[in-house]
Amino acid sequence: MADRENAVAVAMAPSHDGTLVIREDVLAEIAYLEVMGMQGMVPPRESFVQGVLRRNRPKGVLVEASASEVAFHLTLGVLEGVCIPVAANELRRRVAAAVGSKTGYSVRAVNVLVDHIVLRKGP
Amino acid sequence: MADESTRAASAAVRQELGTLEVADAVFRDLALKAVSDVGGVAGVGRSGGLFRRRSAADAVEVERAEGEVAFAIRLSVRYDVRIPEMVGELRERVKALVEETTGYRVRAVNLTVEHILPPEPQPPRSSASAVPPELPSAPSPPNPQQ
Repeated sequence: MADRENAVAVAMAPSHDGTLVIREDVLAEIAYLEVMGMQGMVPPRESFVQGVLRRNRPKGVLVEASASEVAFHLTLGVLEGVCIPVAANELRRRVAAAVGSKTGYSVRAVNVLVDHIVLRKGP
Repeated sequence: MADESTRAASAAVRQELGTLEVADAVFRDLALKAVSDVGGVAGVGRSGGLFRRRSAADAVEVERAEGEVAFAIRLSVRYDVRIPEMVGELRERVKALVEETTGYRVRAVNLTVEHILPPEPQPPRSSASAVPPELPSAPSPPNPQQ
């Protein structure tokens, strides 16, 4: 987490009239919005302490960004009835598309950890 | 969160463009759900008591290898049930639910029957162990097994 503090800003190659900086938080927020946009996916469980440490970063998203590539570690919950492997692949496709089109980064990997499942009450 | 995702690498399934990891809690909840749907199962773990939920979770052990999973479940059954038949149905249900939800193959569902309870549903405060089954004066209720 400590080195993450130092690595919040990622500079893109300077163009002819200035530089562009896209913070890692932006990438994280894009990924988080894509998770929330998926049918049947919910935010992960987290303890109070984790919530405090996270501050206002999106829940369950870790970003590893290098010069032009980015990898995500997403933690999330699913609703009952979702086929997890299919949903994970769909989520990857969406994250890669959104990040690519909005920031120009290419997505190296989207690693998904499903930490809980929300079951329907009753039989 | 961070430590969970690093620990994940061991049993994670490789998909294109990343890995997929499903936490033990998901398998446990799915197994509990499948088991509780089967008629004749009175409870998982110790039935009743203050820590019922906790003990239900403790009664399901999950063992994972890459792409496959095995369960060990301790449960109690009702008096009017044929255990070997019920076990077949139970295995089928656990296997079906887990495989269609997670994509992991279910290698084994190992079951331990710990208690047998009287046929009538008991109020939760009366503990399973001490009470002998009441003599059935009326015909026993139909088996809720569908």
